[in-house]
Amino acid sequence: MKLNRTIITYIILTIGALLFDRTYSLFAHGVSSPWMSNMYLYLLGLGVLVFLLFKIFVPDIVTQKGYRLFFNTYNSGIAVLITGMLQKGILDIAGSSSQFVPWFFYTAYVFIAAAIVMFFALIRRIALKASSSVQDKSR
Amino acid sequence: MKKMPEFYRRKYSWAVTMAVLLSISTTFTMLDALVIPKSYVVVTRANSGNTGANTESAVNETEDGGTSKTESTVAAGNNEDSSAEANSQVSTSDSQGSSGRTEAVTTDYSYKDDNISINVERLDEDGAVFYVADIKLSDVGYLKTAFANNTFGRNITQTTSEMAQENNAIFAINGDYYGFRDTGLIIRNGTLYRDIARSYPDNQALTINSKGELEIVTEGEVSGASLIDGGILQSFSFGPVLVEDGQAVDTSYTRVSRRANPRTAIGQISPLHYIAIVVDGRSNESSGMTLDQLAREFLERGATVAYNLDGGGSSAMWLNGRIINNPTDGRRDGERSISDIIYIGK
Repeated sequence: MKLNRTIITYIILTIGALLFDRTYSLFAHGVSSPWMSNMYLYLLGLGVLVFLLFKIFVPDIVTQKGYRLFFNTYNSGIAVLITGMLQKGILDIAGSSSQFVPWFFYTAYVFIAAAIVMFFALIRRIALKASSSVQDKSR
Repeated sequence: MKKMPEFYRRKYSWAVTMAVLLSISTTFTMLDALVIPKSYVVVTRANSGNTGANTESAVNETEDGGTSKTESTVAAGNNEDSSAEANSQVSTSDSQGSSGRTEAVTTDYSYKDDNISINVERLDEDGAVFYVADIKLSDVGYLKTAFANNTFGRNITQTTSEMAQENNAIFAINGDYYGFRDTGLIIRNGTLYRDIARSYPDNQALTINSKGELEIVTEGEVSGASLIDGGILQSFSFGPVLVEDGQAVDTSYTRVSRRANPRTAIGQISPLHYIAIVVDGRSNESSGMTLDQLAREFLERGATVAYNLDGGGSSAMWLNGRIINNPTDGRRDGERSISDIIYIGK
């Protein structure tokens, strides 16, 4: 249920990002920015696809202790990344730039890298539990 | 320290905190990039009298409002006061040129004295209304640039007409709106203000040397200091290049809109003979021009070099005391406040 809700939320955000880009481009006088145009792809890939793979291959991940920590860290990374892309896109289209936008990307990378480490820790925990339960059954 | 991970694991507290932090940082970034004015260098001009030299001093401002360093460079040309005024009829006015007393003849669309000749033609072709200024000078010193509020900085803006009036310009067009970005090679009136290369593919700048020749340079491949040493007086960081070596340049790579839009561009036909084109757009009267159309206009007039400047709502042309085109950004009529102009003045 938890994963279903997350996937649906990311699908809605993906559609929202796509619609925002298309609407914004109507008023941009022919100027576009790949940062804004590709926002939806990141939400689709890092959001919908990743949690879909969790649902298929490791549905038990949500019951693990530490999942909330991973979930918050990973989603924060995506949120910061998309916010950075949105700002970069708006400034690109306006013909402007900002020295602060790269910091959004650096922050997002740190969050996502930390989340990846947490993910592997969770997977390891699931694997250890599975192997110990197999050993218990064999006894 | 133990309480922090607990807070982090809670369902909504972290999400709310992140949302607040992202909102604050986004608001700050956008205000910093688009709104908050930041003054880096205040430009002061000193009339050096009979030497005929235009001395421009740049005083760097520190964050606490004090001054830290003063640079000064000398650009060729004279710095006499212009007496060109708005006039709807043919009229004459006196001005003191470098070679003595000269008499200027002005009309709605022209200006002529012994050193400066400007003729503007208003054309309406293929749904685009545009203004072609044919400019002939006796000295490159008459081709100048000015910053809004005489200050090099970010988000410091004035309209083309305000800057033209303050600098006694005879003729002016909008510049490259350098103050909307942190990157790009900026040399103005012989002083290097910024030497941060833009990224490929939009990294070609236009320069004007002490002979009045327009040349294209690639930012990052040459340093600003070497350009100054080589006698470069002005540089503009926008683009794309429309014409180079008398040939139209492929503009399909650019991030600048290639759709019909209001445009401003400058080109050169021969030594001290220039063409400036301002295209109206985003209105019922004029749809604007594509970059390829604009390049063709320069080629038809024999330009060997032409460079696209800031366009859209910024596009404005000033002559003899008034704006002669119809600037609009498509939502609001009238001039946009911008950061710099290119002008002809004494």
